[in-house]
Amino acid sequence: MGNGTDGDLGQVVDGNALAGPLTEVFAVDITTARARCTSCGATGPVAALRVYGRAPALVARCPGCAAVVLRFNRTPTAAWLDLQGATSLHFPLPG
Amino acid sequence: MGRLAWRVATLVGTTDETPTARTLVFRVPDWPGHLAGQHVDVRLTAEDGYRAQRSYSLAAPADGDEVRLTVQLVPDGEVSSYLVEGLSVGDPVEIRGPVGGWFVWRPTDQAPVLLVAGGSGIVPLMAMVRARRAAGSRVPFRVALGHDPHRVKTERFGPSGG
Ligand SMILES: Cc1cc2nc3c(=O)[nH]c(=O)nc-3n(C[C@H](O)[C@H](O)[C@H](O)COP(=O)(O)OP(=O)(O)OC[C@H]3O[C@@H](n4cnc5c(N)ncnc54)[C@H](O)[C@@H]3O)c2cc1C
Ligand SMILES: [Zn+2]
Repeated sequence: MGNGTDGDLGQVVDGNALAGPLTEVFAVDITTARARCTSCGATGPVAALRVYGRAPALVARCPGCAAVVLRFNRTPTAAWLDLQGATSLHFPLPG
Repeated sequence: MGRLAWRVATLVGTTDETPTARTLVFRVPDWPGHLAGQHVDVRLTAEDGYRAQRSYSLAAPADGDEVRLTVQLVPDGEVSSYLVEGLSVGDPVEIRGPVGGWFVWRPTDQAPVLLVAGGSGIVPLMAMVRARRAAGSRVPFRVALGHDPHRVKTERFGPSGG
């Protein structure tokens, strides 16, 4: 579980920080899904992305190439999710 | 899971762990229980309506309506400074959770476990160690802790529950 600082980008935490905010829009826990980075093709659990910013506005970057994989913003009346940096999300689901 | 509501949590006790970290015990009516390794989001609202929200690991296994968090003071940290130095017994915060399914340990898990952490990353590991003991599990746990990743100290929790 993490938190630390990452130079000019400021405070960084791990993708687990997305669990609460994204529970508002997904029926399953997105942090256990595997995401494929559009930029470098690497795959890994959403929990391992590097998350910048402060809830309710979060930017998750690829731990390999630092490209933005996912952006989320929660306003008082809506949630906004940008998945342009993720080619796919693969969810483990029981039968 | 669906939409998770924010619940009011009332501080009922504190324990200082180090000069800059303290464990906060909250009472949260109708807490649904949780797994070791899961976390909650804590939300603070100022009188003028300004809000700040951060994630904190559950520091101990589920115990009725009691939820324990261990918070490390971060220099100039907005939320951690309030939780470590500002909050008093009887004060409320809002909590959403439990969330996070990637990094959890279930008492039924049989595989040996290696846990590695630095700083406040020890918090969810302590929840796992406590859950292991509470369940009487004999699964070998090995825990490596370090402030400085170059000087990691290894502690072994053997089959006898030590
Ligand atoms: C899943 C998860 C579990 C966690 N569990 C725990 C736990 O059990 N215990 C624990 O203590 N912590 C835990 N954390 C970390 C916690 O969520 C907070 O990140 C931590 O408490 C710091 O929050 P803060 O509000 O005090 O600090 P912040 O106000 O967020 O600031 C932290 C530091 O960043 C600097 N900073 C602030 N804003 C900026 C900016 N825009 N640009 C550059 N620098 C900036 C500040 O000066 C300060 O030094 C966890 C995090 C996650 C994701
Ligand atoms: Zn990448």
